Amino acid sequence: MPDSVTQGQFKRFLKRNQFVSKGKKNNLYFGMLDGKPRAVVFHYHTDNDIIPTGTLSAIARSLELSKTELIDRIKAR
Amino acid sequence: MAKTKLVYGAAEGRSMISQIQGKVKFGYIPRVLNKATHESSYMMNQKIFESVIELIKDKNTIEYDEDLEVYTAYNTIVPQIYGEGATKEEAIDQMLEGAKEFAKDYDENIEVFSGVLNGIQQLIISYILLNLDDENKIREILKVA
Repeated sequence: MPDSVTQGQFKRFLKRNQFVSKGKKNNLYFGMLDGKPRAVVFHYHTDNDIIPTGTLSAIARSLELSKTELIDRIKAR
Repeated sequence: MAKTKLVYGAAEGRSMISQIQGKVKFGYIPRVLNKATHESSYMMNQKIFESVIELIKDKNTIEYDEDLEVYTAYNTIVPQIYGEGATKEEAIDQMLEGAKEFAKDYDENIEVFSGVLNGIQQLIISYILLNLDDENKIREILKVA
């Protein structure tokens, strides 16, 4: 699955972009992307779990990116 | 004919709240202006408020991941509201739980959120927060009733 993204990959993407977790269950992340403040909800369980494609769409939309842009940025390293 | 007074100063707003509510009841939208901060607050009645909510269309999407066999339901206006499940119904139920959780987090982090979310997003979340104990109302707001 070349377009698949694991929870670990996305978690590292958030860390690279200095997002901080908040909220009761620490599932809410605040940070800046492209100079704009963003909030994203992300449920981390294990590094190797693949994020379902629809969930990735929702996350991309929260970050005001297309899913392709988000995948490219996550895999940019 | 004298123009109906609809703009009030902050102190005036406090002392004239009954008159203001009387106007709101019939469909006026009075504005309370804080002259020091130049910020305005508006009051509207339930009929107008619910009509505004009703105008917000196409709010949910469900996507299916064939490899993982997982449905994800998410709100296209507030995409932070989403849920996953083995069936569409399960994903929608999880999305409703996600909405409640997100509304509580919104309440706890309102100052940060006010700089992140746009007005329509804040309207939806605030309305969910107002109805946190009413699952049917939340379903109605998210149009999954």
